[in-house]
Amino acid sequence: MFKSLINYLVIFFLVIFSLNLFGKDNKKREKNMDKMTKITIKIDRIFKSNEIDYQRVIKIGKQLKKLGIEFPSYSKPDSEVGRSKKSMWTERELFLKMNQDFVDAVEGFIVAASTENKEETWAKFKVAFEECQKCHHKFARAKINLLED
Amino acid sequence: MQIKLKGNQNSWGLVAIFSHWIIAFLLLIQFTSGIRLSTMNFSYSKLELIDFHQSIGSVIMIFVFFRIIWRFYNSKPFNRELPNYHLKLSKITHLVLYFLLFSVPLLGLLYNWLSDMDIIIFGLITVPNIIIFENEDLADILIEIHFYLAIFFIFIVIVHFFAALYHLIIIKDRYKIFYRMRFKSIK
Repeated sequence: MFKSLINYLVIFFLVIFSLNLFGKDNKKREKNMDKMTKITIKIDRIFKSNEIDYQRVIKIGKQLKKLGIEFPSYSKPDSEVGRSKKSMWTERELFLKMNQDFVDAVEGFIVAASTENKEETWAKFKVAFEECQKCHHKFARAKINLLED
Repeated sequence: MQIKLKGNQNSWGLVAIFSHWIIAFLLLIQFTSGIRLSTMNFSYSKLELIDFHQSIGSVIMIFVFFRIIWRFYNSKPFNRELPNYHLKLSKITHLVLYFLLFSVPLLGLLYNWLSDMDIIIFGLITVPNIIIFENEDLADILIEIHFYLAIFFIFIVIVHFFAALYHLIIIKDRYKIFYRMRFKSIK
């Protein structure tokens, strides 16, 4: 009985969560961004562990690249600002360029991971991470200053 | 001089006192790092702080697990003179504290495992993932619950802290509540 109650609760939360995401562009964008953030944490931790599984790194890298490619499609002209700055729409060309730079940097990371060279792969991860930060600085709202544009 | 590991009528004993204060210290660090994390923007320092927060959380979980086992084995002081409502309030607060001490780190742990993220304690020990499936949506729900329970946890710790201060300052530790949790009491 307890088990089935837990199952019902999990299904209930998943349904509520899915309804919350349905149709809202900014929610999808934030979900996509949260996934990308999680992947960067995953990669960082893999490199902090003693043994690096490069096949796993490549698989995760490909997921990151896919999320990066999809990202601009969740910021249509009519979408809500959410956690983004208005500059995501007003400086569209720059946003798309920076997003592409990130995707290219992730591709470089995947290529480096396939050589199984730890230093090289880590260096390429740092390049991709730099691209993340640049983009965040330009287009994401600061967490403690939600009044900014 | 004989050091009392187990408790008696006048003391909680060295093991319980040590684990109480060490957990209190770790919780202070954990609450501070947790609040800081929720206000930080994306950066490499944030990743480092997440790792630190997760390492401290793992250590707290180990201590709590040990403390719960010890609580069953330990001889506890009993307050015969303590008013009934004090006893009831204290029992409820402690039950809630133990529930939160165990559930908040556990939710953090499950979030990492369900997201297929390795748990590395202070960059030294990798905790194996015992959950074979990945479920990002469920992980996101669990980390939300972790966040709100942690806020409630801070509130309960403040209640516990002020109750201790009430005993120490207002009623001059009449029932020796504070004294029994001091290292002085084990001598």
